[in-house]
Amino acid sequence: MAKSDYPRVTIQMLAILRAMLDRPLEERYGFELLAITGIQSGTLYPALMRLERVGWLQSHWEEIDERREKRPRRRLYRLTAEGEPAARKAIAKAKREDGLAGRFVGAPPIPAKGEGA
Amino acid sequence: MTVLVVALAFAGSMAVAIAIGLVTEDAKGWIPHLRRHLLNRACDRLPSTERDRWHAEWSAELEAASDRPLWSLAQAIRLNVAARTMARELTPPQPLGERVRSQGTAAVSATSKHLATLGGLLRGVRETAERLAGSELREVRAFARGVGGHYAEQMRQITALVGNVVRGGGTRRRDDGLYFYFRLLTTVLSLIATFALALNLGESLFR
Repeated sequence: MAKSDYPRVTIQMLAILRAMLDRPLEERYGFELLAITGIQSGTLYPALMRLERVGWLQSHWEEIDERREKRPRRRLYRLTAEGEPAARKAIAKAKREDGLAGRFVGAPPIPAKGEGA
Repeated sequence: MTVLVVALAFAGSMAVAIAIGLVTEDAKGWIPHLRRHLLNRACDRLPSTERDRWHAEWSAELEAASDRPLWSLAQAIRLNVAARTMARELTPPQPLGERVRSQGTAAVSATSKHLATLGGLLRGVRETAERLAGSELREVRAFARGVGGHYAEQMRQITALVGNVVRGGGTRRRDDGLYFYFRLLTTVLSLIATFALALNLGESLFR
Protein backbone atom coordinates (compact mmCIF):
# COMPACT_ATOMS: atom_id res chain seq x y z
CA MET A 1 0.00 0.00 0.00
CA ALA A 2 1.24 3.44 -0.88
CA LYS A 3 1.69 5.63 2.16
CA SER A 4 1.96 9.39 2.20
CA ASP A 5 3.05 11.61 5.12
CA TYR A 6 -0.24 13.37 5.74
CA PRO A 7 -3.36 12.84 3.68
CA ARG A 8 -6.06 15.33 2.88
CA VAL A 9 -8.55 14.53 5.64
CA THR A 10 -12.19 14.83 4.66
CA ILE A 11 -15.20 15.12 6.95
CA GLN A 12 -16.08 11.50 6.28
CA MET A 13 -12.58 10.38 7.17
CA LEU A 14 -12.77 12.38 10.40
CA ALA A 15 -16.07 10.74 11.30
CA ILE A 16 -14.57 7.30 10.73
CA LEU A 17 -11.49 8.16 12.78
CA ARG A 18 -13.69 9.50 15.55
CA ALA A 19 -15.67 6.25 15.61
CA MET A 20 -12.49 4.19 15.64
CA LEU A 21 -10.98 6.29 18.44
CA ASP A 22 -14.00 5.73 20.65
CA ARG A 23 -12.80 2.15 21.07
CA PRO A 24 -9.32 2.08 19.61
CA LEU A 25 -8.69 -1.55 20.47
CA GLU A 26 -11.85 -2.81 18.84
CA GLU A 27 -12.14 -3.87 15.26
CA ARG A 28 -15.07 -2.66 13.19
CA TYR A 29 -16.59 -3.76 9.91
CA GLY A 30 -17.85 -1.54 7.13
CA PHE A 31 -21.61 -1.60 7.74
CA GLU A 32 -20.99 -1.17 11.47
CA LEU A 33 -19.11 2.06 10.74
CA LEU A 34 -21.95 2.99 8.43
CA ALA A 35 -24.41 2.72 11.33
CA ILE A 36 -22.15 4.54 13.80
CA THR A 37 -21.11 7.44 11.59
CA GLY A 38 -24.24 7.79 9.49
CA ILE A 39 -22.10 8.08 6.37
CA GLN A 40 -23.50 6.47 3.24
CA SER A 41 -21.64 3.50 1.81
CA GLY A 42 -20.96 5.52 -1.35
CA THR A 43 -18.52 7.68 0.63
CA LEU A 44 -17.63 5.35 3.50
CA TYR A 45 -15.69 2.82 1.47
CA PRO A 46 -13.60 5.30 -0.52
CA ALA A 47 -12.71 6.95 2.81
CA LEU A 48 -11.80 3.59 4.36
CA MET A 49 -9.68 2.79 1.35
CA ARG A 50 -7.83 6.12 1.62
CA LEU A 51 -7.20 5.65 5.34
CA GLU A 52 -5.88 2.18 4.70
CA ARG A 53 -3.66 3.37 1.88
CA VAL A 54 -2.04 6.05 4.05
CA GLY A 55 -1.48 3.46 6.76
CA TRP A 56 -3.80 4.86 9.42
CA LEU A 57 -6.11 1.85 9.26
CA GLN A 58 -5.39 -1.78 8.64
CA SER A 59 -7.82 -4.50 7.72
CA HIS A 60 -7.95 -8.26 7.77
CA TRP A 61 -10.49 -11.02 7.24
CA GLU A 62 -12.50 -12.07 10.23
CA GLU A 63 -11.59 -15.52 11.52
CA ILE A 64 -14.86 -17.34 12.02
CA ASP A 65 -16.43 -20.65 11.12
CA GLU A 66 -18.75 -19.47 8.36
CA ARG A 67 -20.97 -22.57 8.63
CA ARG A 68 -21.46 -22.21 12.34
CA GLU A 69 -22.02 -18.46 12.20
CA LYS A 70 -24.19 -18.88 9.09
CA ARG A 71 -22.68 -15.82 7.45
CA PRO A 72 -19.58 -15.08 5.41
CA ARG A 73 -16.53 -13.62 7.12
CA ARG A 74 -16.30 -9.86 7.20
CA ARG A 75 -13.41 -7.52 6.60
CA LEU A 76 -12.44 -5.89 9.90
CA TYR A 77 -10.75 -2.52 10.30
CA ARG A 78 -8.66 -1.15 13.14
CA LEU A 79 -6.37 1.78 13.77
CA THR A 80 -2.68 1.18 13.29
CA ALA A 81 -0.02 2.27 15.78
CA GLU A 82 0.74 5.11 13.41
CA GLY A 83 -2.91 5.87 12.75
CA GLU A 84 -4.05 6.40 16.32
CA PRO A 85 -1.95 9.50 17.12
CA ALA A 86 -2.46 10.78 13.60
CA ALA A 87 -6.24 10.45 14.01
CA ARG A 88 -6.16 12.35 17.32
CA LYS A 89 -4.04 15.03 15.71
CA ALA A 90 -6.39 15.33 12.73
CA ILE A 91 -9.47 15.59 14.94
CA ALA A 92 -7.83 18.13 17.25
CA LYS A 93 -6.83 20.18 14.21
CA ALA A 94 -10.38 20.06 12.86
CA LYS A 95 -11.78 21.19 16.20
CA ARG A 96 -9.26 23.99 16.50
CA GLU A 97 -10.22 25.29 13.12
CA ASP A 98 -13.86 25.16 14.27
CA GLY A 99 -15.10 24.76 10.75
CA LEU A 100 -17.68 22.35 9.41
CA ALA A 101 -15.32 19.45 10.01
CA GLY A 102 -14.85 20.41 13.67
CA ARG A 103 -18.58 20.56 14.26
CA PHE A 104 -19.03 17.24 12.47
CA VAL A 105 -16.48 15.54 14.69
CA GLY A 106 -18.39 16.54 17.82
CA ALA A 107 -16.99 15.70 21.25
CA PRO A 108 -13.20 15.61 21.67
CA PRO A 109 -11.67 12.15 21.30
CA ILE A 110 -10.70 10.09 24.30
CA PRO A 111 -7.12 11.00 25.21
CA ALA A 112 -4.56 8.27 24.82
CA LYS A 113 -2.62 6.93 27.84
CA GLY A 114 -0.10 9.45 29.10
CA GLU A 115 -1.62 12.20 26.99
CA GLY A 116 -2.85 15.31 28.77
CA ALA A 117 -6.51 16.25 28.48
CA MET B 1 -75.81 3.44 -1.51
CA THR B 2 -73.71 3.69 1.65
CA VAL B 3 -73.57 -0.07 1.88
CA LEU B 4 -72.36 -0.24 -1.72
CA VAL B 5 -69.61 2.33 -1.07
CA VAL B 6 -68.48 0.46 2.06
CA ALA B 7 -68.50 -2.84 0.17
CA LEU B 8 -66.51 -1.32 -2.70
CA ALA B 9 -64.02 0.26 -0.29
CA PHE B 10 -63.64 -3.07 1.49
CA ALA B 11 -63.12 -4.92 -1.78
CA GLY B 12 -60.64 -2.27 -2.92
CA SER B 13 -58.61 -2.43 0.27
CA MET B 14 -58.60 -6.23 0.07
CA ALA B 15 -57.35 -6.06 -3.51
CA VAL B 16 -54.61 -3.57 -2.55
CA ALA B 17 -53.56 -5.74 0.40
CA ILE B 18 -53.39 -8.82 -1.82
CA ALA B 19 -51.42 -6.88 -4.45
CA ILE B 20 -48.96 -5.58 -1.85
CA GLY B 21 -48.58 -9.08 -0.44
CA LEU B 22 -47.89 -10.47 -3.89
CA VAL B 23 -45.38 -7.73 -4.71
CA THR B 24 -43.61 -8.24 -1.37
CA GLU B 25 -43.46 -11.98 -1.88
CA ASP B 26 -42.23 -11.44 -5.39
CA ALA B 27 -39.62 -8.94 -4.19
CA LYS B 28 -38.14 -11.58 -1.88
CA GLY B 29 -37.35 -13.54 -4.99
CA TRP B 30 -35.88 -10.86 -7.23
CA ILE B 31 -34.15 -8.53 -4.76
CA PRO B 32 -31.21 -10.91 -4.06
CA HIS B 33 -30.65 -11.31 -7.81
CA LEU B 34 -30.78 -7.58 -8.40
CA ARG B 35 -28.49 -6.98 -5.43
CA ARG B 36 -25.97 -9.51 -6.77
CA HIS B 37 -26.13 -7.91 -10.19
CA LEU B 38 -25.52 -4.45 -8.72
CA LEU B 39 -22.63 -5.76 -6.64
CA ASN B 40 -21.01 -7.39 -9.67
CA ARG B 41 -21.49 -4.19 -11.63
CA ALA B 42 -19.86 -2.16 -8.85
CA CYS B 43 -16.88 -4.50 -8.68
CA ASP B 44 -16.48 -4.43 -12.45
CA ARG B 45 -15.71 -0.73 -12.14
CA LEU B 46 -12.69 -1.44 -9.94
CA PRO B 47 -9.24 -2.29 -11.23
CA SER B 48 -8.85 -6.06 -11.62
CA THR B 49 -6.27 -6.24 -8.81
CA GLU B 50 -8.77 -4.89 -6.28
CA ARG B 51 -11.91 -6.57 -7.54
CA ASP B 52 -11.83 -9.84 -5.56
CA ARG B 53 -11.12 -8.20 -2.22
CA TRP B 54 -13.96 -5.69 -2.44
CA HIS B 55 -16.37 -8.21 -3.93
CA ALA B 56 -15.79 -10.54 -0.99
CA GLU B 57 -16.07 -7.72 1.53
CA TRP B 58 -19.21 -6.19 0.10
CA SER B 59 -21.00 -9.45 -0.60
CA ALA B 60 -20.39 -10.50 3.03
CA GLU B 61 -21.82 -7.21 4.28
CA LEU B 62 -24.83 -7.36 1.99
CA GLU B 63 -25.54 -10.97 2.82
CA ALA B 64 -25.44 -10.19 6.53
CA ALA B 65 -28.03 -7.48 5.88
CA SER B 66 -30.29 -9.71 3.77
CA ASP B 67 -33.02 -9.57 6.45
CA ARG B 68 -33.51 -5.93 5.34
CA PRO B 69 -33.90 -6.48 1.60
CA LEU B 70 -34.73 -2.94 0.52
CA TRP B 71 -32.04 -1.40 2.69
CA SER B 72 -29.43 -3.81 1.37
CA LEU B 73 -30.60 -3.08 -2.17
CA ALA B 74 -30.09 0.64 -1.54
CA GLN B 75 -26.61 -0.11 -0.20
CA ALA B 76 -25.81 -2.14 -3.30
CA ILE B 77 -26.76 0.88 -5.41
CA ARG B 78 -24.57 3.16 -3.27
CA LEU B 79 -21.67 0.73 -3.56
CA ASN B 80 -21.66 1.54 -7.26
CA VAL B 81 -21.00 5.16 -6.35
CA ALA B 82 -18.26 4.02 -3.98
CA ALA B 83 -16.69 1.81 -6.63
CA ARG B 84 -16.71 4.65 -9.16
CA THR B 85 -14.87 6.97 -6.72
CA MET B 86 -12.46 4.23 -5.71
CA ALA B 87 -11.71 3.31 -9.31
CA ARG B 88 -10.90 6.94 -10.07
CA GLU B 89 -8.50 7.07 -7.14
CA LEU B 90 -6.91 3.71 -7.80
CA THR B 91 -6.33 4.33 -11.49
CA PRO B 92 -3.31 6.56 -12.12
CA PRO B 93 -4.39 9.75 -13.94
CA GLN B 94 -3.70 9.66 -17.65
CA PRO B 95 -2.31 12.68 -19.49
CA LEU B 96 -5.04 14.69 -21.24
CA GLY B 97 -3.90 13.63 -24.73
CA GLU B 98 -3.98 9.99 -23.71
CA ARG B 99 -7.45 10.36 -22.20
CA VAL B 100 -8.83 12.06 -25.29
CA ARG B 101 -7.29 9.39 -27.48
CA SER B 102 -8.63 6.48 -25.41
CA GLN B 103 -12.11 7.99 -25.12
CA GLY B 104 -12.11 8.79 -28.82
CA THR B 105 -11.14 5.20 -29.61
CA ALA B 106 -13.92 3.94 -27.33
CA ALA B 107 -16.44 6.26 -28.99
CA VAL B 108 -15.39 5.22 -32.50
CA SER B 109 -15.50 1.57 -31.51
CA ALA B 110 -19.01 1.99 -30.06
CA THR B 111 -20.14 3.91 -33.13
CA SER B 112 -18.81 1.33 -35.56
CA LYS B 113 -20.39 -1.48 -33.56
CA HIS B 114 -23.79 0.20 -33.70
CA LEU B 115 -23.43 1.27 -37.29
CA ALA B 116 -22.90 -2.37 -38.16
CA THR B 117 -26.04 -3.24 -36.17
CA LEU B 118 -27.99 -0.44 -37.81
CA GLY B 119 -26.78 -1.50 -41.24
CA GLY B 120 -27.81 -5.09 -40.54
CA LEU B 121 -31.24 -4.03 -39.36
CA LEU B 122 -31.86 -1.84 -42.37
CA ARG B 123 -30.66 -4.57 -44.72
CA GLY B 124 -33.15 -6.93 -43.07
CA VAL B 125 -35.94 -4.40 -43.49
CA ARG B 126 -35.03 -3.86 -47.12
CA GLU B 127 -35.01 -7.60 -47.84
CA THR B 128 -38.37 -8.00 -46.12
CA ALA B 129 -39.77 -5.11 -48.15
CA GLU B 130 -38.38 -6.61 -51.33
CA ARG B 131 -39.96 -9.93 -50.49
CA LEU B 132 -43.27 -8.21 -49.76
CA ALA B 133 -42.99 -6.15 -52.92
CA GLY B 134 -42.04 -9.31 -54.82
CA SER B 135 -45.18 -11.14 -53.72
CA GLU B 136 -47.25 -8.11 -54.57
CA LEU B 137 -45.54 -7.98 -57.94
CA ARG B 138 -46.31 -11.62 -58.61
CA GLU B 139 -49.95 -11.09 -57.73
CA VAL B 140 -50.22 -8.05 -59.96
CA ARG B 141 -48.38 -9.83 -62.75
CA ALA B 142 -50.78 -12.78 -62.51
CA PHE B 143 -53.70 -10.37 -62.59
CA ALA B 144 -52.28 -8.52 -65.55
CA ARG B 145 -51.64 -11.79 -67.37
CA GLY B 146 -55.20 -12.79 -66.63
CA VAL B 147 -56.79 -9.67 -68.00
CA GLY B 148 -54.34 -9.39 -70.93
CA GLY B 149 -54.11 -6.04 -72.67
CA HIS B 150 -51.20 -3.66 -72.31
CA TYR B 151 -49.04 -6.08 -70.37
CA ALA B 152 -45.66 -4.39 -70.97
CA GLU B 153 -46.98 -0.97 -70.00
CA GLN B 154 -48.69 -2.32 -66.87
CA MET B 155 -45.53 -4.16 -65.84
CA ARG B 156 -43.44 -1.03 -66.25
CA GLN B 157 -45.80 0.93 -64.03
CA ILE B 158 -45.99 -1.80 -61.42
CA THR B 159 -42.20 -2.25 -61.35
CA ALA B 160 -41.75 1.50 -60.91
CA LEU B 161 -44.30 1.45 -58.13
CA VAL B 162 -42.62 -1.46 -56.30
CA GLY B 163 -39.24 0.20 -56.76
CA ASN B 164 -40.61 3.27 -55.06
CA VAL B 165 -41.90 1.21 -52.18
CA VAL B 166 -38.51 -0.47 -51.67
CA ARG B 167 -36.68 2.83 -51.83
CA GLY B 168 -39.28 4.53 -49.63
CA GLY B 169 -40.10 6.87 -52.48
CA GLY B 170 -42.91 9.36 -52.39
CA THR B 171 -45.12 8.39 -55.30
CA ARG B 172 -47.39 6.26 -53.13
CA ARG B 173 -50.01 7.74 -50.91
CA ARG B 174 -49.32 7.75 -47.20
CA ASP B 175 -52.36 5.61 -46.46
CA ASP B 176 -51.02 2.83 -48.61
CA GLY B 177 -50.63 -0.21 -46.35
CA LEU B 178 -47.28 -1.57 -47.49
CA TYR B 179 -45.69 1.86 -47.73
CA PHE B 180 -46.96 2.83 -44.30
CA TYR B 181 -45.68 -0.31 -42.55
CA PHE B 182 -42.34 -0.11 -44.31
CA ARG B 183 -41.83 3.50 -43.21
CA LEU B 184 -43.02 2.72 -39.67
CA LEU B 185 -40.66 -0.22 -39.37
CA THR B 186 -37.62 1.70 -40.62
CA THR B 187 -38.45 4.66 -38.36
CA VAL B 188 -38.80 2.47 -35.26
CA LEU B 189 -35.61 0.57 -36.03
CA SER B 190 -33.71 3.79 -36.68
CA LEU B 191 -34.93 5.22 -33.37
CA ILE B 192 -33.87 2.09 -31.49
CA ALA B 193 -30.46 2.06 -33.15
CA THR B 194 -29.94 5.79 -32.55
CA PHE B 195 -30.91 5.41 -28.90
CA ALA B 196 -28.55 2.46 -28.41
CA LEU B 197 -25.78 4.35 -30.17
CA ALA B 198 -26.28 7.45 -28.00
CA LEU B 199 -26.37 5.32 -24.86
CA ASN B 200 -23.17 3.51 -25.70
CA LEU B 201 -21.43 6.71 -26.75
CA GLY B 202 -22.46 8.40 -23.54
CA GLU B 203 -21.26 5.48 -21.47
CA SER B 204 -17.91 5.30 -23.22
CA LEU B 205 -17.36 9.05 -22.96
CA PHE B 206 -18.34 9.53 -19.33
CA ARG B 207 -17.06 6.29 -17.83
